[in-house]
Amino acid sequence: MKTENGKKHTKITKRKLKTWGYAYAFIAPTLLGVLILNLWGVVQSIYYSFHEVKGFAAPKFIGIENYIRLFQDTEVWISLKNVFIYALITVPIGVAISLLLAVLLNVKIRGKSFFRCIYFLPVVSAPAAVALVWKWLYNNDFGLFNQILSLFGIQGPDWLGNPDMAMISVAIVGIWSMVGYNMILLLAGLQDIPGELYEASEIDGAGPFQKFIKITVPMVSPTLFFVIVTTIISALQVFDVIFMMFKPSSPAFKSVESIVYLFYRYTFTNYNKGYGSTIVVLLFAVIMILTAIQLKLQKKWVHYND
Amino acid sequence: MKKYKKIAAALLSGTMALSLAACGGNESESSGSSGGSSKKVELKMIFWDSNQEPGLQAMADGFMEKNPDISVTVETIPWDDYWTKLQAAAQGGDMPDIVVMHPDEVENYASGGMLMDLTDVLDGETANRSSFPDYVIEDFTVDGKNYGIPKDIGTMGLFYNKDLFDAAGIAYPTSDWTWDDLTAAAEQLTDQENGIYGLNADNNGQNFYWNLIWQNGGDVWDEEEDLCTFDMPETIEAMEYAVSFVEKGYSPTPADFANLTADEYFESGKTAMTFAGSWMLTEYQSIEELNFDVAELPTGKEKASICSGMAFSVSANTKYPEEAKQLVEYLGSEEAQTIQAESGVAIPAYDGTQQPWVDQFTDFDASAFVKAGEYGHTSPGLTTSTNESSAILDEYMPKIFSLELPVEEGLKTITEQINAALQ
Repeated sequence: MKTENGKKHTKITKRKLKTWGYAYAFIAPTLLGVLILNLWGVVQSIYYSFHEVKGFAAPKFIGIENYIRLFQDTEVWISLKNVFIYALITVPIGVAISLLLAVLLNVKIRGKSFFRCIYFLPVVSAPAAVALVWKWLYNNDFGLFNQILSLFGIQGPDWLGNPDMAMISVAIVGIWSMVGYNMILLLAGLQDIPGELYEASEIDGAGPFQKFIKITVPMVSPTLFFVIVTTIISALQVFDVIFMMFKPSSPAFKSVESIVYLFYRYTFTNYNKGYGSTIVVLLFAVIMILTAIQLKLQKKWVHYND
Repeated sequence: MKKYKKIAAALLSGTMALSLAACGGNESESSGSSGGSSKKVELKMIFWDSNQEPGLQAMADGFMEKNPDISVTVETIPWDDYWTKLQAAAQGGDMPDIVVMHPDEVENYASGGMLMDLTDVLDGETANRSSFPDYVIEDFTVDGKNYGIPKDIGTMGLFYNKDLFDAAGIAYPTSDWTWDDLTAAAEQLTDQENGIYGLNADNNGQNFYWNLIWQNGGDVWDEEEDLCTFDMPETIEAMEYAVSFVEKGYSPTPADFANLTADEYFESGKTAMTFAGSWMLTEYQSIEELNFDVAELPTGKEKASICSGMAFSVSANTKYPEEAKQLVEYLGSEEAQTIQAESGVAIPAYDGTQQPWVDQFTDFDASAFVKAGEYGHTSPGLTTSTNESSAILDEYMPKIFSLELPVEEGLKTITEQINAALQ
């Protein structure tokens, strides 16, 4: 190292060190959490997926045997199909409703905070409790939904027992629980949009619909992109509602079993962590690929302001 | 708005997916020995049935009275979480000192080195092996070592709703009922207009069809060969009988059971008869509108009922091995098992302490459950947690009970697949 350069270098490093030190100190709690709770889990799952890990026995290396089994296991593909169906129903409808609500609650109306609160309530409710309440609402004989339908002379569907209906029942709960969270994110995005844009467009004679398409959507698109990505990820990981509402002995179970449920059954019910990890590595890969595709596609529609 | 950077999104997606796998191992125990100033030994015991918590607490109190320097806490973890939590705790090295063990699970824990060998306790005087039914001792024996001190036995009875029987004007079930009597009663009790069913023919082995299979001289599992025997002619015949209740409309269908459980059907007075375990007595009793009694299960070619014993096991890594052993020895003693009997929730395993349990119930005759112990069958090896037959059963049994798959064809497929999976 040259001395003249070295002097300059130390000067910067000192200042930089201080800045970095503060920065890292501030993110340390989260960073540690991510490293220990998340990244370590990733590493361990991948490690387990190449091993036989049954019960309390030490992991035994078996190469790609778990993966061979995975690709021949029809149940894996059925549950993967199930979560794709779930995502295809919940993501477009859920995000559309969230955006609509966010736009509506962004205008100046009475009781705005009250409505925001109402729509956010599902997010702070315990998922297990939510699922149990919905299970009763859906009940074929005593449930509120079918009671109401019967007032109009309609024989309500068997929400939980009919294999063709079950996924729709789960999706409704999924949409209901996600809308509040996404709405808050989108609302934050909407509030970043400068009012001048709307004023200018009004002068140019734009109607409400045009304003929405030409200003709101492009301006909120970075948030919208984030919302879509995270919603798809959590849709593919759906578990708690299904776990609470359907037992494996139910005739509708096969049409709602999700990939995470399958992972749960192998890992925690059969104590077969090796194969369970393999299933979750598959989900990891699927989510990675889908997210990568979205990152590519975003260039076509996401509008960054700077 | 560079907030939503690619890297962040990619990382997020990855970690959200995989961190699922890691969520099991991070349970930390907060209760316990934080206040270590006094030298008091603290032991923790867990069980899954909240109905039994007062009884267990009374047993623990009895122990603490005699051993003032040891304190015992009893904790209830519901069945659905029990094994998940226990597995995580065992792996994380903080398994509770005393756990109630199930016959399906003991092998996994014992062969994994998680349980203490309790053979010498059973050879001792207080909780000697001769005081308990052999099958309970055997259920908790792995490789010649005993890992459980018998706690209670659970058997099956035919519960019936007296009001519905009275309304239909037929005589209550008796202990010499045959299968034909059961079918005939179910037919008479079924009232489709009012949504009343005769019997719960649920897709549930322990609580329903295993009992019928054994009554017909069949079996589902060959213990010697470790083979699934669902294709035995006697087994097929019994399953056809089981499914016939759904077929004839005397039982709710599997789709109905997806809405209300068998217990809920019986508890709400929508089903007149149900097979249920002795452990359900106190729950049914707590429902005021339910006017019920119980008889022995009907007789097929022979009398048979599931008879599964539970046991107290000790963690191999407990901090206080001597004290923990002392505690389980006490829990297996005549004194403690009498306390359990008087609490009414479970039939004690200790010979001779069953009568106090029967005497607890004045509204009805619980002796049917004790008698069932004489012709009991233990939980079949089929359901051992580490084998994967439950997934195969979950795939085909709902179809069989939904009448989508003929019984014989379905059972043959199940047998082939389970035996292939075991190879």
